[in-house]
Amino acid sequence: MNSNIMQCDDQRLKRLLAADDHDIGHDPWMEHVEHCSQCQSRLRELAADDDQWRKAAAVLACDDEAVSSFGRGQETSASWNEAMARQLLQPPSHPEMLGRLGRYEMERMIGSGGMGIVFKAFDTELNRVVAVKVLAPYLATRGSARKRFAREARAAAGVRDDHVVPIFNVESVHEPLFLVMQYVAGGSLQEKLDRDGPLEVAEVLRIGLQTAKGLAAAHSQGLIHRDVKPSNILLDEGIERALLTDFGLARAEDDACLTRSGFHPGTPHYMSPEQVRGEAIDGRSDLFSLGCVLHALCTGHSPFRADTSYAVMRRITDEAPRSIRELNSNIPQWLEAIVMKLLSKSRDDRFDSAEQVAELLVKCLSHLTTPFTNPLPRITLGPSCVKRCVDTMNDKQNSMKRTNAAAVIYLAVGFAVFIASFVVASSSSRNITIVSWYWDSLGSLYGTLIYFSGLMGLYVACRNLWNSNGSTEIVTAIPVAVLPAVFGLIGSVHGYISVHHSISELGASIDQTQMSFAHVTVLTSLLVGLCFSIVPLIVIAIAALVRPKLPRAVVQPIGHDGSPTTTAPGLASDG
Amino acid sequence: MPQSSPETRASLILRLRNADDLAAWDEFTGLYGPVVYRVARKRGLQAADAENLVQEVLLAVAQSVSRWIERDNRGSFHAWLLRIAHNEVVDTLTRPSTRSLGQDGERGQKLLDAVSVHGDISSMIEHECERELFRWAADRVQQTVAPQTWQAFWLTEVNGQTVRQAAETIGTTSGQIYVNRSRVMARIKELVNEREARK
Repeated sequence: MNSNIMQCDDQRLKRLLAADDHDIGHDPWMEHVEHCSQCQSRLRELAADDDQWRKAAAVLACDDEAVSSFGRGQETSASWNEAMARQLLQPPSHPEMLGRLGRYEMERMIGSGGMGIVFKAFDTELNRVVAVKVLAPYLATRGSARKRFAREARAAAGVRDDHVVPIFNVESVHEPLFLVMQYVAGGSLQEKLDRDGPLEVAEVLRIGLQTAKGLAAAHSQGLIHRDVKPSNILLDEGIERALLTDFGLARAEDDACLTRSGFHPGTPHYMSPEQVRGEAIDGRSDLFSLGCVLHALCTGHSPFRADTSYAVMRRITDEAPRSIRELNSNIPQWLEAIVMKLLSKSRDDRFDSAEQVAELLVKCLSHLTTPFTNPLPRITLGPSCVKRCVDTMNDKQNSMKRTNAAAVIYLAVGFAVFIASFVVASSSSRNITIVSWYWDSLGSLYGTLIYFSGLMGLYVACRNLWNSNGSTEIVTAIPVAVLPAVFGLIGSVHGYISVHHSISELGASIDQTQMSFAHVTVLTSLLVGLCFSIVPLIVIAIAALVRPKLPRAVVQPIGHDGSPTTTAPGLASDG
Repeated sequence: MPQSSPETRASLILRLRNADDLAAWDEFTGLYGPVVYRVARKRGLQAADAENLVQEVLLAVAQSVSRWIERDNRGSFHAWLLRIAHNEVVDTLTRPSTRSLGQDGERGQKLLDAVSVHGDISSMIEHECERELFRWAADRVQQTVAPQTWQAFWLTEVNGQTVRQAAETIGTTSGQIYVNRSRVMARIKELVNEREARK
């Protein structure tokens, strides 16, 4: 036989051991091994020593079920499809349905996540549509995960609030574990955000307020949500109502996702810094997450974005979130201040409770709808927030200062010319020459130009007024607007009088063209000057009257010791 | 697969600047979680308590990581983790509050044994570590070779079938069985040696 002719050869055996699955099939040496008992035992020796063979076999042989299920061979819950979902269910009693669990007929899958799958289902006993959440099988095999799921679900079921999805039933005895809750038809906030982008201010406030109310109800029961994010906020169809879901289940998930691939506790985007650092958390952790949600609603994206979870978490702990108003200028500054306070890195700088946030947002919302009867509430800011707001304020003030400086230079030059023309005119009054006449014309022309600087000052004044940021700017803006107007008025009047005087004195010594030029110049400058000096004064007067009714945040900074240091009405004065 | 809670891992991510160290942590938890679990079970702890213990140990190790980071001469992170975890488990399991009271009134005997418990646990951990290493390697190999190849090893070595029976079950030649089971073993050995060399 062929194989007998072949010499036993360690090298060839080693090559066999190292070969890949697909190119080992037709190796001629296979045949030799088949019949050569020497090579058969030699292969064994080459592969590993006896001790190792024994250990490997022993380990695999006593791989008892309970122990081996710990941390290995788990299904990853990357994505569920209906076929997989079906395996969890009993066969349906109606062909249109997916399957059945007790008295609940599953109609279709409406969502899936780390914890399990959510179905739209029909309760055949109570004849109503419900949502059924089935615990993922890889979690269901673990006693502690099951217990926690049931415990937390019961705790969540105890939270009764208009803004928390009610839990009707928890089935923790049967297989698989599931809970039954109200079916909310409108989809999640995340879907809305993906579809419509940033929301209107009123809507941001409404959703924020309702979420805060839901959180307050839970916190009062000692329950921390731990996973507040847009996909856990459901929107009722038709009526404007936001409902929080997935209460406390995040904790049960942590418990078991120890064993799952990699680090993916859902998304870390809405985690609080203390959650990221693995410290103990309280209700204020949820407030940070709520801040992230509001930031996302204002801008369309979560505030701490990066390519990797790692980078996201670094941002959450280390970096200040991006300014909302830089991304969406429609958001008023007071709303940004509220969100930034929620996003304080230290929980002591945030609001004290969800209830407080809800109350504040109620007032903001009523202010937004009827600003004339409801003034904005006071917002107490932590030091970091104040710094931020003051920074943005400083930017604004700097640009205002530049405009003002230009106006002042303009004004100074005009004033100098005015004085010069006056001096020249009076010194040469007895001997009126063509030179003094030109000086006077120039003075009145400059007076006209100065009205434009008055306009500029007016612009600055109005912009600051309408930007709604307190009362200090108006004090600086009014003189800047009024002074050039007044000086311009005096300049042009003086110019007109002196030129008129010169013309009558000079009489025939100047020609007709010069005469009409002088008249036109002086009359024009006088008219324009009158208009421009009166109009700004009227506008400023109106603006000053309307001003207190405009939205304006009254911000009260806190010192590092936590007590209010100043009660100044505006931020700018604290910069 | 990491067995630490995501928050524990997240806090480590923030402290360990080096990606290799993080990989070492994941490797460590993947190996050590089951080891602690088994040792705890063998000491008579309930399943849920054993799981809690795993978390406790991993958390304690994670918290002391800064001690390692601050050290000038740090050496291998993995080796350090193993050493710290070892001490932690021994400490925790010999602490009166976590020591099992026994499941059927054997408390007195347990207390008498307490003196030797220390050494017992140590050797138990080492034994379990080695087993876990083999288990891990076998798992990896099973995932990378063809099912037929794996079966050759499984049927003859673990299920105790003869080569001829296994060949019949799989529907192949006995030559294939001889070669394939050795190929599986060779790969397991390779992985185990590789891991041991890194310690």
